[in-house]
Amino acid sequence: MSNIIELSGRIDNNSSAAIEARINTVLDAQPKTLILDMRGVDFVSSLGLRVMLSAAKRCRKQTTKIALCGVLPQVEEVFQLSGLSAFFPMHPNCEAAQQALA
Amino acid sequence: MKDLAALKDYILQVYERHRSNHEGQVATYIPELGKANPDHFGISVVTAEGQEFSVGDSQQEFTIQSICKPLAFLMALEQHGRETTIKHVGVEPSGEAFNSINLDRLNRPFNPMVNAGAISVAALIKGDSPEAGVDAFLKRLSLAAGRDLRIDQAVCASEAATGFRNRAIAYLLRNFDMIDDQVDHTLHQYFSQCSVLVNSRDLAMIGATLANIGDNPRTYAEVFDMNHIKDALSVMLTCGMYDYSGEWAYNVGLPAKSGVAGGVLAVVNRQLSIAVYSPRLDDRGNSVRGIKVCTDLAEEYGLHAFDFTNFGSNFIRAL
Repeated sequence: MSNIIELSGRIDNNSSAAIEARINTVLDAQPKTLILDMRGVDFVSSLGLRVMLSAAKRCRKQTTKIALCGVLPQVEEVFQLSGLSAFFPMHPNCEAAQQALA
Repeated sequence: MKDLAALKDYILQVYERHRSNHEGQVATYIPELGKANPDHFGISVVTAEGQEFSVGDSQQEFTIQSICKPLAFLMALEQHGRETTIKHVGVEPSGEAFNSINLDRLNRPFNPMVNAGAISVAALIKGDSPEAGVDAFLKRLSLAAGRDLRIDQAVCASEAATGFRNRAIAYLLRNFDMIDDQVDHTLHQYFSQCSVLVNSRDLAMIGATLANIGDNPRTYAEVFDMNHIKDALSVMLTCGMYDYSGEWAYNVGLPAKSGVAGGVLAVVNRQLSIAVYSPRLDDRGNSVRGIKVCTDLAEEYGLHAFDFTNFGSNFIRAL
């Protein structure tokens, strides 16, 4: 069973701290995998990207495999233009992400 | 970068262009440094994806000297956070020589790139014992360079035996409670940090680690905390080239740091790093050929932060 965190709305100055705390709580248990369900996320700010990259780096350190699923095109473009796609394997939906990480 | 070939050709051209430039003098204020071969000239470039190219004396080792300063600053930020670190050293350019004895209105050193600031930083990362502090620093730089680095004990001893001015600075800092009682421990840390032996390829790999958000692009080792890379690069841009920093930012526009042994390290964020070794220095203590190589590369490839080909924020572009 994968750990799936469902995110929604904007990952920005207002929401980043709470999201960082949620992710860290899950990562504290050293899970094998972590899937961030991005279907409901319509905006990620630069600060939001930093929080997500910190999480991805922490995953790599503790050998938790991370993946994103259902990333909206405008959000994917932000990851691409920031040169951060390599840190976040992306899948169309959670099932595909679970299979890929299994 | 898709292909390094075009860059390689230009680096070779730049190398040949400046090879016969014999302006400047080898530093002698630390007696051991005066033994360097003034003709040595090496250039290395490493990209954030781990591609690399070197020309000339890129295997020639020299002491890192002041190029240790932004790296020590990064470690201090990681260990103590921004708030505490900034109580011990400012981030304001001083416009003065690297060895100036001058503090700001809060009795802090102006920035971590002048000796006073670097000594304050050394006190923050000196560890529980002289051995532990130096070992931690050496390990971190080795991780960034991707090979085991060591300390030139002769240079370190030479600095310790003749560094009266740095000793005076340390005691001044002690007087203002910028550093603790263990002044000798702090100075040992500082002199050892400056005496780490590197070649231009090592420096470029360390720079590429900074460019690659703190991860070594070849070994993938996580070396520096991503949250403080920006802090270190910022002071490199504003204060990294001693009292030439303003002109450097104006002409070259890259975060960089020079050392009196003849090294220069420049970083293009998220893309690449350039390292030059050439021991002849100008009167501000910067490598003459080091500055020329970086200037030429910046002009040819639009590396300046405010070059018209550069967009300020990729993030804004995605909106």
